[in-house]
Amino acid sequence: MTQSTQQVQPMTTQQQSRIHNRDTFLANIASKLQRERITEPVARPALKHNCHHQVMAEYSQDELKEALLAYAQSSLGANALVTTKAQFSNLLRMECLNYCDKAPTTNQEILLSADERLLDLIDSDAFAGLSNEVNVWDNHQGYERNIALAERAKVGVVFAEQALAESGTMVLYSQAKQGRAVSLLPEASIFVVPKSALLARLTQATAELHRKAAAGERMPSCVNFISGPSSTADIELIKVVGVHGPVYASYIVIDDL
Amino acid sequence: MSMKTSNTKFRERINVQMKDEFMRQSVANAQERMFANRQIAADKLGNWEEWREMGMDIRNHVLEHLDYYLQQLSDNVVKNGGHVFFAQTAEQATEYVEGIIKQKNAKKVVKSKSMVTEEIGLNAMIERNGCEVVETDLGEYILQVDDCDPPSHIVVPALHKNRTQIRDIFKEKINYQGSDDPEEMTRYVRNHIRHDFLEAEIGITGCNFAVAESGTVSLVTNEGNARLVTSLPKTHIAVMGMERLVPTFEELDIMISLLCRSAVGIPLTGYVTALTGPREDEHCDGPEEFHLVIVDNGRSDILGSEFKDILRCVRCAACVNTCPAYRHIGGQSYGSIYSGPIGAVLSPLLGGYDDFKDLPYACSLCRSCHDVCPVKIPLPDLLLKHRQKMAQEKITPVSERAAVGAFNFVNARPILWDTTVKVGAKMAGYMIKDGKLPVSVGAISEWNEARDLPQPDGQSFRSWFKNRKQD
Repeated sequence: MTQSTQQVQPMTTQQQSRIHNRDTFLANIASKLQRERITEPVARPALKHNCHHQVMAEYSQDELKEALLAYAQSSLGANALVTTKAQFSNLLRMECLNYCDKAPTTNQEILLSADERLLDLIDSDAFAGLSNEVNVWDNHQGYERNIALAERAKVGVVFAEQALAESGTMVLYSQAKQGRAVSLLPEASIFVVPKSALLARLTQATAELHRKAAAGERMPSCVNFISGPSSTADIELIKVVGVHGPVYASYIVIDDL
Repeated sequence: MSMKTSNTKFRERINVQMKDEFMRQSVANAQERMFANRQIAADKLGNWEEWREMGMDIRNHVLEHLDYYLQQLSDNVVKNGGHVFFAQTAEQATEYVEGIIKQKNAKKVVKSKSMVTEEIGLNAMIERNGCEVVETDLGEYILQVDDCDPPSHIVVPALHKNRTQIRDIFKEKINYQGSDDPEEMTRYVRNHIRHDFLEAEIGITGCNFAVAESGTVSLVTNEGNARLVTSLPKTHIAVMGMERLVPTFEELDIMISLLCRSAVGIPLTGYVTALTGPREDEHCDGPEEFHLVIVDNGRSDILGSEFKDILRCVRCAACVNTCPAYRHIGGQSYGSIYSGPIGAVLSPLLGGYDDFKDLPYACSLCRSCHDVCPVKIPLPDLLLKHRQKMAQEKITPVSERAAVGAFNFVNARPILWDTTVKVGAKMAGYMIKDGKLPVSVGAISEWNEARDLPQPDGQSFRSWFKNRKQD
């Protein structure tokens, strides 16, 4: 049994005023369960099995990389690439232009996340000599300006916290410097992730979120687990890639990071 | 739309649906594909029975301590700056949302797919307030523009329509001029409703699982519409059935792994989004205001009853995708937004026997649903419980109760039984011609429509057995 380790801070009156009807609602539940209402932390039973920790447990970072890229390419329809820090800028430029050329008559802007981990990897002259406008997310400019940029951009480039090999998933934490819209509104998403951040599956990613919660840290307001471009099968169960979210996705794994 | 989707009788609905050849073929194909995909995903993961057992244990633990976990969840939502409303009834839930719409003077709401908002009839309330509501999940969108046609599947709501029908609906309602190619139609909808996401003041979603330890709401989706709904409008309202939560992110891992494989046969759907409160102060997209509406609407009555196992349900539709009854009668026959085995158990519980007394009989007790359920809900046993309960409460038809009563009377008296069986065997011999009876006999009339009766030899089993021994 594991006792909840969460730091319990008393609620302020202002916070209490934002909860409505709770006591009657929970008292009713307790009465249906034919016992007194439980208000003290409950001992959480340990999970009975360990199978979720066994998936790809023995894999090296390179094996995780191979599994991630193979699944993303074959099952998700994402373009999966590997590069080095030195080669990254060149690859990013080519990949961006690739997407811009898909529909040359429309807008060809590129929007970059302002996450330093991404910007530090991009050479200052990476986009030199191009006619394409390249913008960087800037939270100080406010909602209207950033959303307009994201809506116009053909490509959005983001930095992933982690990637999950089993499901071909990129894990994004919303940050001031990397808004939700960067990986959402542009037609193509490019995800950049260091090889060292590759994990086997959801289990390891949620363990980190659990650690944050148990330590009383504020959870990022939006954590996204993204597996490939958006898709649907709502018409005759036929898979269509590209619905409301991005139509295209590229994964770039930095091999020496 | 509320939970009930039809005012015609169950048998009439079935008769209409059984004649819809396209629907039946598409349901059969869909079932085969979804069933196979689920099985492949479960096999590939390995140890599936261990996963199911963990899923069941997690859900049971939450249900047994539901009051505590809802308290913890709501504490954490407000600590992160959100609001929580506990709604005992559907009306309380919709009134609360109505209050927000009025306060914001909202003219447009965008929604992602949510069964509980359909259950409580949220859209009708929003529209009554002169506010437009746009269902943005492609399947739900098709149904909404088709004058709110009821859903026929809890995961793929427009499963009963083919591409030509969908093209015709789009042509008539949203000025679509293209072909019936699913990709072309999908792209058209993408462009057609894009502006709605940018204009809406409020975004409304359901909740696959809330996480008590952090006050998080998670959404399991594919199309990206739920991300737009929760990133662009200034206010986000999440509506959840009160049982849909887990203690921590560790359990979320197990539940989402089970849900994605059981629903669509893949390790994770395109987007699993974990939302915690409104956006942080220094962020510039994401909602400024977050409201969580926790809905009872009959669930607490189930919690205290012999049907409480049904509250483990994660709405994956694996039971729907394996059910032979669903395969033949289709989703709309159920007359409820919840169809298939889960719908046959849940609809009478949430909506009462008056409207849904027939559904527990839409089952051949093959138990396949029990075998595929990722949280091991004994669906066939619960369907039988409904039948028993209705018999005890005298809700079953008078003719059925009379027949059962007569059977019991005769069965309790050996001499009478013996005589009746002998007479019956002789009579049957004279009456059955070419496998059919000349008169319709209530209990077996429908059975006899599809099958021929054997030609009896005029003696009862007991007399045949006695004679056989003497030989």
